[in-house]
Amino acid sequence: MLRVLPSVARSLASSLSVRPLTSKAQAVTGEIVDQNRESRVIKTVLGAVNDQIEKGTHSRLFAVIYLHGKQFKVTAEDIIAVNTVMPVGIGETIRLNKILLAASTDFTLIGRPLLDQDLVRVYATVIERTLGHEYRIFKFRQRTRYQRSYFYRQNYTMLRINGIEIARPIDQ
Amino acid sequence: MLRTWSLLRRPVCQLLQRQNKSTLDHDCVVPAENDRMYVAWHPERDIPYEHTKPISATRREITAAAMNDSTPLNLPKGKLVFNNIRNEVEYLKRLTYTNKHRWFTQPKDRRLKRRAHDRDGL
Repeated sequence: MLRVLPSVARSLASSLSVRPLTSKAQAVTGEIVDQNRESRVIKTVLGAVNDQIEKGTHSRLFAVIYLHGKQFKVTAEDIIAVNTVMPVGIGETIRLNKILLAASTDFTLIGRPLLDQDLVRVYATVIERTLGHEYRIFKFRQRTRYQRSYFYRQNYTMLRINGIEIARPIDQ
Repeated sequence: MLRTWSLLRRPVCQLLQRQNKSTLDHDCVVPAENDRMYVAWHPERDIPYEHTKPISATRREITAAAMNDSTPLNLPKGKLVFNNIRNEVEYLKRLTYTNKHRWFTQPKDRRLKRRAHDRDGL
């Protein structure tokens, strides 16, 4: 008699086996289902959101932006302190194009993970480039008269958020 | 939550289709832009002013509720003065249901002392 290793037998069995019927497949009943309900709900919701966008009747927008490894929740006329030196001069306007989320009172646009760059625009102006408070790093070794103090200050760029706008209706 | 939505290709709504209510009366999340985005619909609802007011309860009711809650500490009426730090720690410990080590200062707490920023916004 031919003896088969257990591992080989298992792999053979798995390759030959028929997929078992799932409980879902068995539970087919004669239920009346509205085939178009999902598309209708999508259309209704997007229609309501687009209506607000086109007429400009939505409330003040806020957005969650990704900048320098951090997320900021911003709205128009906010000032944010970014812990870095940016290669832009004071008074220059930049566009923040990594937007994770934009929302108003009645609706929220959630990116996966980012929103389309044509859809939502967030502009910011560099208003100040400054330093944070002073840190002191003190090094000390016992019994050797070794003492050192190092000081450093972190760079900050202050941005004023000019505004958030939704440029076009959704799905168009 | 977004992780569970990663396979979401269909709208998700609050208990839909109650009597005499349209879709837009419910909160809803729908996919859009070729599933590259979700749109959530959550219309603002007015909360009645009465619901924003504090619960009306008399002093006696509040005391009774506190007694029922088996609070092991009777809150004093006046300002607290502790002559000994151990008494203070005992008080804080019982107030917050923690152990005493939470309230004695450790050397690391002294090191972590926060420095006041020199301007707002940082």
